[in-house]
Parts: sequence; C-alpha cells; structure tokens
Amino acid sequence: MSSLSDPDALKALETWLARDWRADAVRVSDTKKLSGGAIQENWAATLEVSGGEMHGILDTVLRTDSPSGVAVSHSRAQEYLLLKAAFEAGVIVPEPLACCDDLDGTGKQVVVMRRVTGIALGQKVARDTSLGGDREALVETLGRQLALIHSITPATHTFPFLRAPSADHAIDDMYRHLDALQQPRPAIEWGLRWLVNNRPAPEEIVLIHNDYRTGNYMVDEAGLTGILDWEFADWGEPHVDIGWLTAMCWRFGQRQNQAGGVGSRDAFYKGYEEASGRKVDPERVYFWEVFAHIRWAIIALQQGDRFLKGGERTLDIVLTGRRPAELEYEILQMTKPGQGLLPAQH
Amino acid sequence: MIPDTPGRKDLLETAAAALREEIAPSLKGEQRLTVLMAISAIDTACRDLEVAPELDQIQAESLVGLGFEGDDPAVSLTREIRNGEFDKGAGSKSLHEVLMKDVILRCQISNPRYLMVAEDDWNNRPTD
Repeated sequence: MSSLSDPDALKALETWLARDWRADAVRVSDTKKLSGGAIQENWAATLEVSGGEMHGILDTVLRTDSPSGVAVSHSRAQEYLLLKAAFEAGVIVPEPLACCDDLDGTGKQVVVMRRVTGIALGQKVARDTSLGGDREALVETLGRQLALIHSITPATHTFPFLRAPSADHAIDDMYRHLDALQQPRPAIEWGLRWLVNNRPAPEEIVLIHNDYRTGNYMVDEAGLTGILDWEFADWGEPHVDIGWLTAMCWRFGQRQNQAGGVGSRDAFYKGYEEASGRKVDPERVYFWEVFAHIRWAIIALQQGDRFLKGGERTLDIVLTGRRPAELEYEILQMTKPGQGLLPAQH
Repeated sequence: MIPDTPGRKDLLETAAAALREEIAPSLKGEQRLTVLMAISAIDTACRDLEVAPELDQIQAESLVGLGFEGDDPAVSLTREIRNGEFDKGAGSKSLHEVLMKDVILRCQISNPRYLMVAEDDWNNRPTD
C-alpha cells in the first residue's frame, strides 16, 4: 500500500481535502516523517489552502496506517471521531481538521490534525525537569484533563464501532489475549487470578482514553500541549485510566514520582477530583495498577510474538519482548499470597 | 575436539564494548538511542548465555516440586492457577515463592539494573 512519501498519494490527498473543505486548491508541502509508531505513520506537513473556510496556511500532522501496520486498534477514521469528541469536550488535543476515509480508492485512511509542538518521549519527559513547567501543576492538569475525557459517557455520545459498554471486558480481554499467544505464563496467570478474586464492584462506565500515560501526551517548557494516541479509547471504568497513569510500569524509572514518573499522586488526584466531582478510591487505583502491569506484560508478549512470527524485526520490539520479567516482578510483589486490596501509596 | 576460542561470550562482550566506548559517545539523538539499544540487546544475550543452563534446570525442578510432570507441565500449572487451585493455603505460598524466584532470575538476565532498584524499593517499604 502506498505511503505518504508517494507523490501520487499526496496529489490524491490534495484533491480530496480541497473538495472536503470547499477550497479552490490545497497544496501539501514540507512533508517530513515523524519518529515513533510502528503501526501508524505520522507526517508533519504544511497545507496551503486557497479559498473556503480553511483558507490560509496550516501546520498539520497527517496520520495514517503504516504499510506494514497490524489492525490491533481502532482505524484512523474511528480514532478521528474519538479525537473530535474529546476536542469538543474541551480536552487539550491536536485539533482534528479532516479525515479522508478512502484515499483514491486504496482504502487508506488519513487523518489531518493541527500540529502541536512539544515533546512526548516518555523517558525524556519523566527525567528532564525543565519540561512541562511546574511538575505538580502538570500532573494536576493531567487530572483535570482526564476528568474532561470522562465527562463523555454512553448517555452523551454514541460510537457505533465500540462494543456495548460493559465492566466485564477488562479482565476477559486479558485472558483472551493471553490465550491467543498459546504460551503458559504462570506469573501472569497468578496476577489475573488475583484480579478475579479482588475485583471491586463495577463503577459507572465512561469514555476512557485507555493509554493515558507519560509518553502519550506532549509538553513544552510551560506545560501540557496535547494529549495524543487515542487509538485504544473505549468505554470503561474511570479508575482504569487513573491506575494506568500512576502504575509503576509507566514511571520510566522515576519510581518516587507516583503520577507518571512526573509528579505526586496527590496533585493528580486533586485535579481529577475537582474537575470531575468524583472521589478517587485508592484501593481501586491499586487494583487497576496491578491490572496495568498485567496488560503491559501481555502487550510486550504480543510484540515478542509478532517479532517471532515474521513481524517487524526492530531493536525496540525485540527488547520489548524481554520486558515481561520486570513487569511480572512488580505483579508478584503487589499480589502476595493472602493479600487483598491495599490503598495505592507507593 | 574442543570448541574454538575466544568463545561466543567473548565475541559479544567485545562487540558491545566497542559500540559503547567508540561509537556511542560520538552520536546524538535517534542514532545514539539505536546504538544504546543494540548494546542492551547484546548485553542481554550475554547474560542469557551465562544464566540459561541454570534457569532451565531450576524451572524444570520447580514444576516437579509443585507436582507437575509430563508433557506440558507449565500448561497444567497455568490451568490450575486459573481454576483457583492455588488461591489459598500452603500451595498458594509455595507457588508464589517459586514464581518469584523464577522471575528474579529472568530479570537478572533481561534487566538487572531495574531489578536492583526495584528490590531496594520493595525491601524498604514499611510492612502494611
């Protein structure tokens, strides 16, 4: 399938955008492939729009599936609808501008977003304290933003491509993904069994980002500039997202900074509670932090499996395939025999 | 016959050292990251070569110790965990111990630095 490096594909996109925006012409220039993303490609591009409502120069990112991409998440068009809902709810995201759902009959989908400046790289954001402005203010903002995402509910929105809202999906999905790998993983089974035995009563269902962590939001020197990577968004319980951000496995080595390796739990909870009107329940957070380690371990196993079965043979993926051991270590520590839920405090 | 020397570990260690000392310092950005990841992959392979025989033996013995023998002992173990056979009692404790031992050995291969920091953290937490 053609990539956006192909001049014909760009031409087709220009024609499509001009029609969609009722412009006289659209010219795409300065395309540059951005790093990151094995499944999606992101291209920085300048769009010169003549005529119509969008008239002017737009700094954009074009997001499309990479030619070798595996369909494990939402399609670009579905992701666009989720991003649009978030934007309209006031979440700080790259503004969605257009979505071409079939580029020139190839079936290729391209999402056009306004370009956001900053750095997202998890290691860098966690370690470089000159980024993100005041770090406590940053995690408080992340709490407030998460509350805005969670204001989208099955009562306010319909997304036909999402499964019917249910609290049962979370653990069921983990078993399903693990079984598909056909590898016995006793430590992960142990953790899953602990989840089954310690499941808190389900709470209300909202739109969850489902990958809300350091590495998936962008910051500049002053603070948050955009929340990215909406491809896993789904209906789910609010604490799923809270525990994903605070889980040890997403602190990038900054174990003491419990909110995303960046700031304190208290500041993150404060932002979330003030903006959502919900109380954060530390025991639920503990539960979803255990879940987070299991989920990440299973994703790492999936990547290792794809490597072995002829997927992309990159260094990043081969090293990720060896990550489960350290995740299993945290899982076993959090789920000692006879121990139930505790308040998350480490 | 005797194996040729220098051995595989010597080859890998020397390759990693050359990348670490001669190449990495002069690189920046993504290229530097790539070389650091390559070094990490070689280091992991070295540790794997060293620990693998011991790990294989310990894993086999652990499964026998828990009462799992035959064709696919690890599959039987995971099935029983899922069915709740290890939810309570002495079986639960001994399984957890065995899993922890296995995971620690595997971390010593995949990420010993992580393990050191994590163990230090867990060992210094007040008991709840």
